Amino acid sequence: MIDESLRAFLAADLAIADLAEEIAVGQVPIDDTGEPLIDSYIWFQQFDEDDWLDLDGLSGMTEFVFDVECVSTNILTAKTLAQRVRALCQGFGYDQTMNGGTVTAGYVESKDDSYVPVNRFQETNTTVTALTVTLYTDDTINDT
Amino acid sequence: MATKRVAHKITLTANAVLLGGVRSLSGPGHSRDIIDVTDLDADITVPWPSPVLELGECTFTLFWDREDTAGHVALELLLTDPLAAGSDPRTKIKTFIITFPFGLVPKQTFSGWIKDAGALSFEVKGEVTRDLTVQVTSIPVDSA
Repeated sequence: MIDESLRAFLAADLAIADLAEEIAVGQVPIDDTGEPLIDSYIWFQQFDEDDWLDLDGLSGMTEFVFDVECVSTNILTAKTLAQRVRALCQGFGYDQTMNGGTVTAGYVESKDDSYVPVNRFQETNTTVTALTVTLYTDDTINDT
Repeated sequence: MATKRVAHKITLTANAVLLGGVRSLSGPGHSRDIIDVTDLDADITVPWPSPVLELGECTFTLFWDREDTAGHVALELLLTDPLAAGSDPRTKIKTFIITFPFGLVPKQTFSGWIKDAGALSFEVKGEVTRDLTVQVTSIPVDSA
């Protein structure tokens, strides 16, 4: 559900909707030869999940970490998509609703040099701007 | 049940000015000393609570802006400005308010005076921050 919440949240942004042909979750949009089916898209995948458990096992806050890649054959488009993701998610307000669930806070960081993008292709030259998006949510959003 | 929180969208007001660029915030803390009333023939120590509450400190780090005359610089002046001859040193005691984005009593108000403005350090690629310490002079009061 958190995947769907983030996807819907990003898709609702007009600039992203205008530039990205798809917001892919987990699966890279490629054809039979392994090349991209579309020119510009956002791809993301949940990388980590940390449930803030009490000693008595109660949850109540979960930290989700996503790998986000803004992919385009046009460098400006990739960078613009990344800027929109950053603008939307960095400092996401306290207890704001994201697709029906409550997100307590959101933060964005750029990937460092050691990160290997998932969206890499043999023939097609693409620019990949990779980010880490962290969302803190209460139990109205879970990973089911 | 206790609710888990992320430190996010918390503000600090000092002397009626909302401070910008608060990097981190800690306090105000307080403690109670131990009065040892152990008898000479006792088998265990008998630590009683002191009737006097010890008020602690509130420390915070600012992304220091030396041109923010209403906020950051005014705080420093509270520390550095000498008292006029014969004036009451308690005039340096000001009101501080921490506001949280949650709860029925989101404001915590206390009084105090600037006790320390730490050294500024400038480093290549480093954030320009400054640590400030407030000596708390009243028990914090929660309010709506």
